[in-house]
Amino acid sequence: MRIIACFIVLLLATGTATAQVTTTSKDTSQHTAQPRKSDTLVRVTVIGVKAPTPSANITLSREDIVRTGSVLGEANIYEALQKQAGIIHTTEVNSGLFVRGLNAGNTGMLLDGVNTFSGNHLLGIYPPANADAFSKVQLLKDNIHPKYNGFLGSYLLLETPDKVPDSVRGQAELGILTSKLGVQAPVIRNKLGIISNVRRSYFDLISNTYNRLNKGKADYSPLPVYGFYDWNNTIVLNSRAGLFKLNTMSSGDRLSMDDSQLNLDGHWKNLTIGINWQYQLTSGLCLTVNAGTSRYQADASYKSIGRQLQNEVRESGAGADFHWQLDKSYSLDYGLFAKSYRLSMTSSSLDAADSTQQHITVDKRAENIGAYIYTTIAVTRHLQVRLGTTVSRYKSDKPFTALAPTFNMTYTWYQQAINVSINRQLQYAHLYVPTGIQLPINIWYPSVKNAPPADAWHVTAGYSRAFGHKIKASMAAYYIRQPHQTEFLDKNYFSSLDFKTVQGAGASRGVELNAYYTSSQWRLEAHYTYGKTTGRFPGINEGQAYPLPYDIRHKADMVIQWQFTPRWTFSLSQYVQSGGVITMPTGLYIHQDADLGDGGLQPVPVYTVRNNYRMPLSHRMDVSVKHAFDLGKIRCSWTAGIYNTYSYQNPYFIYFKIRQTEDGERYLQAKTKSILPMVPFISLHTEF
Amino acid sequence: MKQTLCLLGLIAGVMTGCAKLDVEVQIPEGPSRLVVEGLLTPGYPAEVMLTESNTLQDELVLLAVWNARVSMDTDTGTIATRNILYKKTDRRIMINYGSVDTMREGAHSYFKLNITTKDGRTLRAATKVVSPVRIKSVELNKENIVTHHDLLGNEPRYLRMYAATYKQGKVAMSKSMLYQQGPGTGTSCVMPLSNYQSGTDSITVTLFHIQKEYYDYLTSVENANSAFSDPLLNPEEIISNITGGLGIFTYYTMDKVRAK
Repeated sequence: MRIIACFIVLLLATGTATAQVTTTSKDTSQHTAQPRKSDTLVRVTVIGVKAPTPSANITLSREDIVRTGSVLGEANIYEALQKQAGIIHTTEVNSGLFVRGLNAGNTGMLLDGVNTFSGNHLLGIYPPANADAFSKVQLLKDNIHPKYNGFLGSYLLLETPDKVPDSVRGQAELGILTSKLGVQAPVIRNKLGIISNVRRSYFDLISNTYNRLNKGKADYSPLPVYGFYDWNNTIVLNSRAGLFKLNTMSSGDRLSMDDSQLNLDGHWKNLTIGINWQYQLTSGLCLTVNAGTSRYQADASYKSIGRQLQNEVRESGAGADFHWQLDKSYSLDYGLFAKSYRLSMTSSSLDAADSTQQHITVDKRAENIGAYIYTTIAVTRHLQVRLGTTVSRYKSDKPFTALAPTFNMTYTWYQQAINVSINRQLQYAHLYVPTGIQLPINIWYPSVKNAPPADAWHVTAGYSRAFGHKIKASMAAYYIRQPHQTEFLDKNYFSSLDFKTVQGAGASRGVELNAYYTSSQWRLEAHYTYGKTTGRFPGINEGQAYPLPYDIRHKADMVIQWQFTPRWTFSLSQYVQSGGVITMPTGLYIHQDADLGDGGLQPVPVYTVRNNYRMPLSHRMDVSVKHAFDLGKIRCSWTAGIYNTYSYQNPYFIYFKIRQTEDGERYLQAKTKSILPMVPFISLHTEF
Repeated sequence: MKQTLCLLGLIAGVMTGCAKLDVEVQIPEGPSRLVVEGLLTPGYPAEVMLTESNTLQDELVLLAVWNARVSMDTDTGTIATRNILYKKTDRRIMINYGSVDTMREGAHSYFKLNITTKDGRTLRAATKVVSPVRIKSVELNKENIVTHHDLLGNEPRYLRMYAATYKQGKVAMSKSMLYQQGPGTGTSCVMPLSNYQSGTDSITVTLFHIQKEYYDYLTSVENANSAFSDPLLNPEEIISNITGGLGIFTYYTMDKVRAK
């Protein structure tokens, strides 16, 4: 009891958090923020020890990801994040992070501070990063520190362990679509260690075998061949010169589909190499240096139009961040960064005879340098103010210079907190995905004259409150104004690489609500988001504002976990969200090809209004049971469950087919294509 | 035990309480639009097909528009048309408005299309003439067909090539391609084509000298069609030069040779 009382007093004294103490004397009961010496403490009850953070930023440990974000039995970073407010489920699978109504390309994915080009694996079922490789994952979506720059919306920080492994340990996981192996070992005790995690899918092995066995049979339809791997390595060196980490993250995907809707053969690869150096210069001054290079390559052969697209982006950069803690109530952060960027693309004919023409290349380069300053001031015990700015200069075919100021104020009292922030974000690379569905054939188009830098002003306000020690709730409202946006005009870039753009503006606004209940046996989470995202571009939809593809109006998530014995845990998760917005034809007309020998009447779709159709509601429920047990010194667990429990056919895309009636009349019929119906799964996880 | 029963009950409830649902898709329906495909080619009358677009719930048929006033102003006067629906077998098209006289090469320099429908809707479009094109020679290679033409000059030029192989008088294989050429890009068009010569009786090659507007229109038609049948591609609006409607009004020249 004494320890608890001391803890409360300590919390009150530091002012960084508040506690509520119930003191009971003879016949009165009163609530006070600080125990008074004159009172006789008969009983001390901790109702809440800390106000929940009012920031909408999300921090997840690996255990959090395992607990809330498992898909088909495997820990999934995207799934864990998409269950939170403000991040939408893009389709039935998790093809990217669409945060607060912004595009997936507006979220930077940083591996210990080094940009890595995001994407996904297996049509989005698996995210690009293996959760086992990171000790912590953070998603910053408001009050973003200026040391993170280059993306308009948010930052996904993948943080590798800072500690040198103290013993040889490993973990392995066997799932229905992938297997994982992770090993960590000290090389020099307390000085040098290595952590390695590898993941490999084997759906391609199954489909290759199936296709080989059934080739030539009647009614045989080949299964798509899709496989991926990723491999993360971290070398940790703890020396007198500070903590060094060398990270590598490499991955490769291959997709080959050959059916009536899709006919594609694609390979894509990611490689990121980064160095992270943390050094305590003086007792109050700390230096962090991040440097690295990242490369994304895609090679897609699109058979139905006879073209091959090769796309490569490289980014290399370095940054130095200083953190100076002047006293308890004042700190100063400042730093410098420099980046170089290159996009290379080639579109060529799949026909070897067509080497003389139709071979198009694009090569674009850019550089970006900048500096920032950022200060944190504890004005009072309850009020904290942060302000700073980044100055950035970017050069491609035209130089751009910009300031990105930031301001944040947090007021904390008792079990409540309020947070207000305003900041500007700049982005110099535009993500264009030239496919109607979410294949990661990403084109990161650098800012040039016809695609100037994008910027966004974020205004956010948040409120959080704890109700006792079991219940926490928070809400946030945001308004993101994007005065300079580039829209890529419709064009099928496989054949032209002719990037026609138009400049306009956009805005995103919304409200996020979160509620958590935690007890020894139960953990319940509920999240709701209302959002609205619009854009306005000259020449599109007659210059009127229209919804952007990731304009999701309502999204609700619920997670229930019940640990009904120390070794058994039941989990249920459910989401429901409005459909995304796509462009559908509003009619057809008959086109005639004059003077061609085979002429004929050809129906042509009439697309008149951009993003005129909202897809049906999407929702999904997953249930699973986990059982933990020990086999000697090996800790094991198996997880069994059902993905998409009630087998709802969430639409992945819509396509049309011509339907002919018995009397010969022809009509169009729209059909939805789904990817995953109900899938029972089981996975086995061991730690040794 | 009680907790286990509770868990089993919860799972059973979930499994039985949720029926499999099919996603119903309601296709958005837009207003029908007037569509013009007006083609002006030396040696043929001025020919226009005026139709209305189908809504997605309509049967896929050609919805001809009747009793409209269709005329073309040129630098030498006005060309009137007659409203008669007929099939031009030599051009493989349906026409519902055509001029009486054929177009003569060099007789005009521009055309302005004026259409007023019976219910008062108006359409406008304009096109300029392009120079005649002549095929100088055709190479029938193993993996491609190369056509050499006589168009020179510093201005960008737009071409379309169509090749067809015939067996017993019927088209066995055909392909068309669009080309954008300028100074320094040569005077030949290469069409990749494999195994096209075996067993064919004859091969014809047609080369069209077209306007940029027609090049853009045909490209957008191809892209829109591709996106319609293939969800991998992004939808594309039809690039039209018709004010008040959709389609194309264009002048082009052509030359056709029998290469085999």
